[in-house]
Amino acid sequence: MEICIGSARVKLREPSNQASEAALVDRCRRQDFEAFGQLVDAYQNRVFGFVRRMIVNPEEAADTTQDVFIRAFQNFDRFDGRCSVRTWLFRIAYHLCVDKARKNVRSPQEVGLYDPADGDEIDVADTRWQPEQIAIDEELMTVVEEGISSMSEKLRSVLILHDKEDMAYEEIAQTLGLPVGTVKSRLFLARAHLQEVLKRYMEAGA
Amino acid sequence: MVNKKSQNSGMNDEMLDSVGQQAVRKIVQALPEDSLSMAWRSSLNERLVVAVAQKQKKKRMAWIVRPALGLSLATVFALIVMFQPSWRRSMATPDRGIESAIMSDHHNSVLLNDVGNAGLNANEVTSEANPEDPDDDMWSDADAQSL
Repeated sequence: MEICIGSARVKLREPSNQASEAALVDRCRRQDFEAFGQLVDAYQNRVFGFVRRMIVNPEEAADTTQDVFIRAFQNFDRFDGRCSVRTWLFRIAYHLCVDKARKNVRSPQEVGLYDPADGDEIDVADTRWQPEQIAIDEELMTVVEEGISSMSEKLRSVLILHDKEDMAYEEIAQTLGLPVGTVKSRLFLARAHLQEVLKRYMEAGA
Repeated sequence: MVNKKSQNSGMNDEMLDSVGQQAVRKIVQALPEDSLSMAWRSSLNERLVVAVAQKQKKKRMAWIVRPALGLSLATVFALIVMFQPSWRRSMATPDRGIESAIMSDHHNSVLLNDVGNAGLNANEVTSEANPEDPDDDMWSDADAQSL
C-alpha cells in the first residue's frame, strides 16, 4: 500500500503474515505508539473507504475514521485476538457508522427489492461491463457510487466488505454480528440493487 | 429445518455465483482506492497523543483515589464499631434480668452442694441474693405468743 508525502508516493510495508501481525498486536496492547502507527498505515485507507460509503459527508467520514483508530487504541488491551485485527477494526467502524447514521437520520431512497423471478440480468456481452473499461469510465463509477449510497446500510456494509474488501462470508458475519446466511442474502440483494441501478443507467444512455 | 436452511444457503450460493452477480462484484472491485491526506494523519497523531496523556492521567488518579477510598471506608467502619448507637445498649437491659436470675440459680445450686449436701433441701439453704422468705421462719407468731 502507498501513501502520499507531498508529490511522492511511498510504498509502506504491510504486515504480510500472521506472525508479524501477531507481534504488532502484542506491541499495540502494550500501548506501543510506533506499532500502532504501523497498524494505522496498513488499514487507514481501507477503513476510510468503508466509512465514507457508510457516511455521506466526507468530512464526517474522515473524522469517523479517526474515531475508529482512537477507539481501537484506547481499547487495545481488551482485544483478545479471537478475531483478526481487520475484523475488529471494521467492527468498530461499522458500529460507529451506524451510530452516526442514526444521529444524522439519514434516509436513503431504497429501490424495490430485486425479484429473481424477473430473470433480468446485465448483458455481460456489453463492452461497458468490462472491468478494464469501467476503471476509466468515471461517469459509470459515479453511478455505481450513487447506487451504493442509495441502498440501506445493511446491504451496503455487506457489499463493501465482501466485494471491495474481499472478506469471507464468515469474517463478515463475525464483523457485523450476523449469521452467514443473512450475509449471503444481503449480499445478493445489494448486488441486485446495483444491477437495477446500472440497468436504468444503460437504458437511459441508450 | 436444517435441510431447508442448507437448501437456502445452497441456492444463495448459486445465485451469488450467477453471471450478473459476479459482474456487479467486478464493478465494485474496480472502484478506485481511497486515500487519506497527511493532514488527516497529523490530526490523528495529535488526538492519539491526547488519548495517551488522558489514559496516563486516569492511571495516576486511580493510584491515589483507590487507596484513599479504601482508607476512608475502613475508618468509617471502625468508627461505627467503636461508637455503637444508644439503642443497641438499651436493648441489652432486659437480658440482664434473665442473666441475674440464671446467676442466682447457679449460685444457689453451688451453695446447696457446698453447705447443704445431704440432709438439707433447697429451702433450707438461702443466699444473700435472695431475700428470706417471710413464710419460711422457724418461729411463727403463735409460737411467739405462747412464750
